[in-house]
Amino acid sequence: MLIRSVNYKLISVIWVFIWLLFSVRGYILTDSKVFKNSLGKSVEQKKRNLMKSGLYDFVLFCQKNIPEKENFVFVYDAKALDPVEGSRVSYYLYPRKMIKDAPYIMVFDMSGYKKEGFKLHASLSKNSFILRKAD
Amino acid sequence: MIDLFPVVKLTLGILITFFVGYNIIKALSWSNLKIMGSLEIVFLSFPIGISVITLQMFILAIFGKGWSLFNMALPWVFLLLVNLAVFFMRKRRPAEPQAARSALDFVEKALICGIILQVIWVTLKAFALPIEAPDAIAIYALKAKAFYLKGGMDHDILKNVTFKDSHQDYPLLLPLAECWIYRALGNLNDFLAKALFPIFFLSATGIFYSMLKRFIKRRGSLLFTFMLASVPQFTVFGTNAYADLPLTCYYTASLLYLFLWMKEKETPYLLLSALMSFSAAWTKNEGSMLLVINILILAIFLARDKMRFVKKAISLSVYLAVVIVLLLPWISFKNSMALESDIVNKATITPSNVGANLGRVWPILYEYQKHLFGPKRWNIAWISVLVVFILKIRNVFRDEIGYIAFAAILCIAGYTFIYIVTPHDLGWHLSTSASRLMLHVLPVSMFWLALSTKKDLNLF
Repeated sequence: MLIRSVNYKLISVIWVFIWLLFSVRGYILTDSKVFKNSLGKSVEQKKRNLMKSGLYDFVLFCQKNIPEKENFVFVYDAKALDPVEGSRVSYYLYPRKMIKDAPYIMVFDMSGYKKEGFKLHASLSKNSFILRKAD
Repeated sequence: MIDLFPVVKLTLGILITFFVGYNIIKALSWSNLKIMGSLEIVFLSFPIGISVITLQMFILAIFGKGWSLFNMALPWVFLLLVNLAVFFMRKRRPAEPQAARSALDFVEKALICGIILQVIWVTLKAFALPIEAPDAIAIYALKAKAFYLKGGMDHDILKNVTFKDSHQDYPLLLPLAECWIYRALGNLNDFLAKALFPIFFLSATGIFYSMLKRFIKRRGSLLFTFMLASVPQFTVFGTNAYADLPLTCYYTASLLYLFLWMKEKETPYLLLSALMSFSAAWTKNEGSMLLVINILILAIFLARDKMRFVKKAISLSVYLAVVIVLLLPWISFKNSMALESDIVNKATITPSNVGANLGRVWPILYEYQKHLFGPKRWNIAWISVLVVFILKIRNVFRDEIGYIAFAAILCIAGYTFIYIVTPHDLGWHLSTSASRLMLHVLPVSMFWLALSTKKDLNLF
């Protein structure tokens, strides 16, 4: 009886109103941030902003200094870098492939990293550089 | 050679995709062209086009054939010629007088504006950033780049253990679709490739509306379509380059055309449902489960329906034949490469594993309720579905619409089973995927909601 006596038209109007309220909330709180972070920025700036500070420039540096047919190992501080950054590095550097025992080691933001049998190939900064397997 | 502007090339690539899909729909529905509206065919064309084009690219690649213009155009030019021949050979019937459409009232105009603005908003948001989300990069964009630069399959990416995070066993519709856009552009542009997703958003929304309009009045159809289009999670996945919105689009179409076939028994609806079911399985591994659920729903319907046994057998056989033939190349390739899911495999689907993990049901249900009552992502969509489900509990499975509810329940049960057997940390797995899985059943649940409330709500 209670359900039958409900004014469905009123329910419909309230339902639609609540729906619109939550929609507007989403536009303001979530979507506006996306546009704020991207409007007026170049493609390169957007890609740079999406990655950890300095990583995109390091990727561009590696693109220039590692031949496309070669493969690489990516060494970084696992506590400081989100795992997704590894996927982004892998994506941007393809066709160079991120594999184990590669002839190039990309070292990002780690001081004093050394590996036996490898020598400095190119350096972007004191903590970010490329090692290459010694001939 | 004139270098066309990227947007012109992109538009051309998208139009070709529409054209291929349009010709397939025409070929499927020559027996009765009146059963689908013009706008409905437009909404269906792109998803169908992209599904068959990527399948064609895959088949050419595994046979070592290149994606040359000749190889790509050949079957579609042939199909076009067949369609043209049928068109000219058909006896023209005098056009039937169409019922005059009533003019749009203010509310309907406002709702149409709202839907259009939502599509524009999603498009702008999609193009605000390049492909960057974790899975979008690791699973799809990396493979797309590899396929594009190689001009075919990169078996190393699909086999090398260091790329295991890219889910090598995942079907290849999305990577090949992105690759298709890159080929249309003539370069690798991971901004413009995101055009795929707003189009899938538009298609899913349009298909939803086209189906709903068959059963409820225009105002109600527009209202529910606007509501679906404004669900935050639905819009987010129209922009982030994940495969979940394409999968949602395919699954929604597959189940709703199956539902329509149950009602009207028009063969093109069954063929469309089968084609869309295949496309769902060709998009994501979860799609295979959704395909099996569709087959189960069809089998249950046939078992209960009064049609002749021969017709039942033919209907089920046709459905199975379409999906098996189309999926065979991918299944064969997957087996030859020994690609296996890290979640659903022989090691995880064992009675002992299922038994040992049954206690996981509670944290899984707890996660689901967070979504049911989570307006930040879902607005009040799931709350509405739940309330109406409880109020109508006695009639939920009474007529054909009950099959939609049953299918949605089976989907949720299937995903729950996957969480029970997952070898990954349950908390991590739930937090990273539950919202996506609920997206897959959102449009069909809202379709059920609309049909279940049409007699009650005076708005319609």
